[in-house]
Amino acid sequence: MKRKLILKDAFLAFLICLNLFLVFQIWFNTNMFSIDSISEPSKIEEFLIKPVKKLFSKSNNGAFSENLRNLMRPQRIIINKSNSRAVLYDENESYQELLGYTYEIIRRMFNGNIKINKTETISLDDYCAVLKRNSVYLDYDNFCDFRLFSAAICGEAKNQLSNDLSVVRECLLSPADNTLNNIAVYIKDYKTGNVMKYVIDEKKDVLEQMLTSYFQTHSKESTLNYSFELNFHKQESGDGSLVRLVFDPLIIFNLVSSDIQGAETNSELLYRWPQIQDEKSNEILGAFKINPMTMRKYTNLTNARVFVENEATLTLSTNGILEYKTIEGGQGLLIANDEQKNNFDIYNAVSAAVNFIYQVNEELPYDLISSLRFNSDIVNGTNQGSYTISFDLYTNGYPILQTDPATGENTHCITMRIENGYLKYYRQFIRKYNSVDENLSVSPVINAVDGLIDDLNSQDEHLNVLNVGRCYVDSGVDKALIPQWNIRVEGIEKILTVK
Amino acid sequence: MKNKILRKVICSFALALILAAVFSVSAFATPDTLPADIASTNESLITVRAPETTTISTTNSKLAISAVAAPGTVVTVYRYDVATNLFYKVMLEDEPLESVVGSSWLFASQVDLQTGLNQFIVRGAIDDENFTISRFDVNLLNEGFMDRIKGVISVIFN
Repeated sequence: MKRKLILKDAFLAFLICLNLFLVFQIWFNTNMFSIDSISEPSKIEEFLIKPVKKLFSKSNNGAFSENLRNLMRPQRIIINKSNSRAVLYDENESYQELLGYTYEIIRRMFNGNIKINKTETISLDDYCAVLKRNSVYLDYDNFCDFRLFSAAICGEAKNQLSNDLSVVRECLLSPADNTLNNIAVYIKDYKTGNVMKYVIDEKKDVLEQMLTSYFQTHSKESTLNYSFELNFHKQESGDGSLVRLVFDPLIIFNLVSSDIQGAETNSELLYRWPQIQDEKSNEILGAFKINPMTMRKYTNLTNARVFVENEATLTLSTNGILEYKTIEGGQGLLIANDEQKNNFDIYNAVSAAVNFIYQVNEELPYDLISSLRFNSDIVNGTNQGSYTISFDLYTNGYPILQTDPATGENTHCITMRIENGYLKYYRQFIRKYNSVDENLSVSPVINAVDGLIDDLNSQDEHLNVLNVGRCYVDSGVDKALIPQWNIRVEGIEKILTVK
Repeated sequence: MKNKILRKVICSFALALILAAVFSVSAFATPDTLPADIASTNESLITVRAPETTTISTTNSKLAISAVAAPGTVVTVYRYDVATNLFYKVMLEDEPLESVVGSSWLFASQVDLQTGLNQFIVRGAIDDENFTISRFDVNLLNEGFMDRIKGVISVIFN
C-alpha cells in the first residue's frame, strides 16, 4: 500500500516536472522570446506586463468610444466672427482648443447635463444665415450614423437627441440670437433633411470670447466663401436655365491661391519594414488569425511573403503594403462577436472595424493610429450587412492618399470590406509622414474644378459636387508629397484628385 | 553678310515666338475704365449669380461675386468712382479682379466694400466688340449703428 502511494507521488512529481519542461520549451525555444533575451526589459514589458495590463484596462465600450473619437475628428473647423472667417485644421492649437470646448458642450448636452430650453426645426436658408454669423462649425466631411457620432462624443450610442437625428455630417454652435445670452447647437439630419436647432442653457460669453481672441491674434483677411454665398448650390441659373455644376451648399471656396505646409514620406519606416515584418510577424499574423508556423506560406516573385489560410491570402509586400484577400466564395475572417454578428448594421461594422484596426496597428513600432481618421461615409447603405470602410493618415490636418502601384489610381491608406461580421478584404499602406518646413502653393477651388472637368472629359449635362477638400498624394515615387484637391462627385466612386 | 542674314532670321523667329506667346495668353485687353453709361453689346455672355439682386444692403464689408459664362470669356469687376464718373477695375494686391473662365463655366471673386453706396459692373467679354455689362449696387450699413440697436434689445431681454 505504501509502495503504491510512493509510486503515485513519484508519477505526480514526474508530471509536474514534464509540465514545467514543456512550458519552458514553448516559452523560450519558440519565436516568443529566446532565453538570451529574457532579461531584456522591453521583452518582459511586451510579454508579461502588457497582457496583464490589458486585463485591467478600461471596459470594451469605453475603449471603443475613445478609439472612435480619435478616428472621427472633424476634418476642419470653420469659425466666423463678423466679417472674418478662418478654417482651422487638426494639429493647429486653436483647432484643439475649440474642439475641446465644443465637444464638452455637446457631450454634456447629449448626456442631459445641459438643459435644452427649446427645440425647433429651421429652414436651410436660416441655417446658412447662422454660418455667416458668429459661429463654430465642425465639419466631418463624411456622413456618419448618429449612433456612432454619439458614441464618439458621449460614450453612448443613444441620447436624448436620437429621435431627431439619424445621419449627420456637421455640427454648428452659435449664439442663439442677438437678444438671448444662450448658445444654440444646430445639427442637420441628412436622412430627413431637417435642420434641428437646440437652444441650450449655456452662456454664449466663452464662445464669443474664444472667437474674439482668435481674430485678435490672427489675420482678419479672408477670401473664403461658402458655395451658398456664391449661389453655386442652386440648380437653376439667374435666367432660369439649368446649370451644369451644382455644389453642396457648405463647400468652402478659397477664391485665391493659398499656401500649405509641405510633407514627406518617412523613409525610415519603409527602410525598416522588412525587419519589422520579421519582428512583428506574430502580431500581424495573429490579428488575421494565421498560424505563424503554417506550412502554407511562400515568397512570390516580388519578394512579398504570402500566407495562405482559412480560404484567404495575406500578402506582406516589401513596399509596405499589407493585403488580406478572401478567395471567391470564401467566408473570410470573423472579426465581430456573436452579438454584433446577429445584427450586423453600420454601428456593429464600425465597432468591429475599429477594434481590428487597433489590433493590427497597436503593436507596430511606429505610432500610426494617432494620425488615422475615417475617410468614408459610415452609414447604413443599400446593401445591408456589407460595408466598405476607409481610413487615411493625416498630416498638417490634411489626408494623404496613396497611389496604388498596381493600378496607378489614388486610394485610401486603409480600405476594408466587411460582410456580416466577416472581414473579406483589408489593405493597408504601412506609411508614416512628416511635416517639412516648406510652403507649397495650392490653386483656388475654381481652378481645381476646371481641371476636374478637363480630366473627366465629361459631356454630362449635370454634375453634383458633394465635397471639395485639400489632400496630399503619396505617389510612391518621390519622397515629397504633392498637395492636391480631392473632389467627390455624386455617382462617381473613383477618388478624383486635381492639382 | 551671311552672319547678318542669320542674325535677322534668329531675331524674326524670336519676335514671332514672343508675339505668339503674348497673343495666346490674352487675345484682347480689357479697358481699365468704363464710362458710367456703358451698355452691353451682347446680352447673353455672362449671368451674375451672386449677388442675386441689383440692389442690396449689408453689414458685411466683404461681398462675394459669382457668375456663369462660357469658357474663354474674360470676366472683369469694376467699381464706380463718383469724382470721375467712371468705373475702374477693382484691384486686389495690385492685380485687377479679372479672370478667363475655364471649363467649369464659373467665375467667383470677392470685393471689399466701403461704407455707404458701392456701385459695381461685372463685364464679360469674348472680344473687344462683344461684351455683356451687368450692374449692381451694394449699400454697406454701419455696423456700429446695428450693434447699438442689438445692444439695446439685448439689455431689454436679459
